[in-house]
Amino acid sequence: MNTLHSQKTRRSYWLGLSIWLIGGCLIRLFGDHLSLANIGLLLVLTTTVASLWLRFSLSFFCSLIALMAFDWSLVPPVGAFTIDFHQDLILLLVMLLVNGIIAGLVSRLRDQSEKSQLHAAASENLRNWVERLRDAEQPEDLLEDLHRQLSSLAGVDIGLVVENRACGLVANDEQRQALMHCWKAGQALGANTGRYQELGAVYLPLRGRQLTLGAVLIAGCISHNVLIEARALCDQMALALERNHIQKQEQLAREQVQAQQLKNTFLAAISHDYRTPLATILSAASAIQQQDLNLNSPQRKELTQNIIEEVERLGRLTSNILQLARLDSTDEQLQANWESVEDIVGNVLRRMRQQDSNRRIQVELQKNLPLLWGDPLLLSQLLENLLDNALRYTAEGLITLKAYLDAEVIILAVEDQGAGIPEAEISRLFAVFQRGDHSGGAGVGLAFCRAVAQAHQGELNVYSSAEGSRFECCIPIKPQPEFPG
Amino acid sequence: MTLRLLLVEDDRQLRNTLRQSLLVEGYEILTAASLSEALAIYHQAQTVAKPFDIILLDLGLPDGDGSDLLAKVRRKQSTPVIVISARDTEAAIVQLLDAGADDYLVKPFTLGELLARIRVVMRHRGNHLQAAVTFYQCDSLTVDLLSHKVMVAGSQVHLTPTEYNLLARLVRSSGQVVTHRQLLKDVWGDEFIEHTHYLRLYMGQLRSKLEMDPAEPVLLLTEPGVGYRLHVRDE
Repeated sequence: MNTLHSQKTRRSYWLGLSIWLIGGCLIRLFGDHLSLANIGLLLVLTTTVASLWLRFSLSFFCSLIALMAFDWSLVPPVGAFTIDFHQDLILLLVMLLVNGIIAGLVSRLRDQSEKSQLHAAASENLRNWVERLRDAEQPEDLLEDLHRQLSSLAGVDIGLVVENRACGLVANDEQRQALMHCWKAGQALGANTGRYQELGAVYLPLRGRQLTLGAVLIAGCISHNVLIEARALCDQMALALERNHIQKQEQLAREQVQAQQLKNTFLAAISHDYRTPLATILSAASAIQQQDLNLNSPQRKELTQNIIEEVERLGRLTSNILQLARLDSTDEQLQANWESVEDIVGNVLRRMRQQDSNRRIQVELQKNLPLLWGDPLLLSQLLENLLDNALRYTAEGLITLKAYLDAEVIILAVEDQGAGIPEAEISRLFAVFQRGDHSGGAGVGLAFCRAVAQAHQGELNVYSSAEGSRFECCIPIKPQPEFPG
Repeated sequence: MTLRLLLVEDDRQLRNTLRQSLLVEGYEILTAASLSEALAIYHQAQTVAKPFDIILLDLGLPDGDGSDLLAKVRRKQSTPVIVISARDTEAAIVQLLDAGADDYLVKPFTLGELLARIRVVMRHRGNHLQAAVTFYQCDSLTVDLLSHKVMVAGSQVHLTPTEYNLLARLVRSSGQVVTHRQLLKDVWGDEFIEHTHYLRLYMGQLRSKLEMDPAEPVLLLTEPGVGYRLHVRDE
């Protein structure tokens, strides 16, 4: 920027001096044919035009030389600096005065015009900066840009620090301390700032309305005007950073509130799901306790069977919730191994038969299925949940558990012959705490199933019609391990 | 002869319920609510009173882990130990089974399941002089390890040497869970203890030869995440 300025000044000098040269030549050419007064006016014109480019002092000096040359060559006696007539002397003095006044006025006018041009350029620059900051999604991304602008403005090395990021000049220990102080105090330090003027550099805080989010090191002395402009750029950056910071905080707070609400609803749903089996257990156990003598053997057996079934249901529910919480936490890893679908299906069937006395569950298992890389407990629990739901929500009809390979995916499907699920409900089915009208714990169970499928890079789909529903877990297979020859 | 049981369980309700039920079954039972109490009772029984026939051991105790007691028991003798634990501790269960526990039960369990486990471990370890189990019969399957014969519904079945070794290992621990690691080690060798997929393959082959319905096995049972168990008829 300084180089540019000096180039511009040099060009102005040459232009101004050229005007004087042209003026001098014109007077030399036409001097013999014009009156002294006309030549004097030509001199005033030359002074006026040249002043547009020359500084006052230079302009006045050129004017003085020109008048002396005028006196020497045209004012009688020609060839001497003496003046014969009083009126000629007055003419020369008045011309000198007028030239001086004109040079002064034009020079001041030019200075002011230059100042306002600079001011306008700075304002335009700031306006562009504000717009870019406003449009930026992450104001931190414009740090390099701020660094470039400040470097060009101040003409010295610049260093910037904001939270988790630094850019430009790497500060030495003393500069780092000063930067940290500037950041913490939120106040500018160094020359022209009114604080620690003796410092060899200027430190500007990136201060918004309430927070200071970083600091800038300008490693050199800068003028008052440059300081003001630099502060304006920094302030805008700080406001953008602050706005972004507050938005992030807001988002975080909103998410926390949502998580809390979700947790509360989840807990409410869980306690609701626990109440039904607990009520059955309590009523059956208290019946046995209080009506002991009035109960016959089959009645007593039925009551105890109810207790056992409901306890098993509670056990499954507890396990679902526990595993769901584990799957939700990101650092929990699957206890995965090479598992055979036959093993998992066989184990699930053995457990489910206890509540399937009519043997409604049928199995269609494709032979020689590839091995699955997965957590056998979670996959067993997934199938148990799907079968339990099918048994619970369809009063009659067969339930088919299918396992087969489709391209590179193993499909584990549970199909029932129930009334189907209303279309509107299907999309809400997997939300943790939502159930159909047939309330009874399917909410947590299905959310668990979907989480298990996803933990195995698979998915859980549901298809339903008036003829029945199909819950389908698709799990991609991995390259198979080597078997003994 | 009355069997002496040590029940180590910190939950009072469960401890009392099990104690009552086992007393009704005719067992002599002592209970401990913590690891230190269990160690004291065990030590006293070994030195002064009669040793225990079975130990029922909960894993999570207020003053330590049940595995400490298991280590102590295994250093001295082979008193059968059945581990009782919560559902989410499969890794710990496997560790204890590999460290010498005889079987495990996951809470919640029924009294029937507990009594069946006790009967199985007593069959295997109840009498130290008894020969290892070499004969197995359940439903239509008969295995005689001495004569090397495997029969299904009266007709002999041909098994490959690996299939036979796997079945024989399960027969020797029939009714008890055998961990993947134990099976791989005993059938294939130490260097194969991580090759769980071998088990999946051979167990599938065994089921297709021995089970009536391989999709719904009733003899070669899977204990997910832990191992396999050869079912025994509950007398």
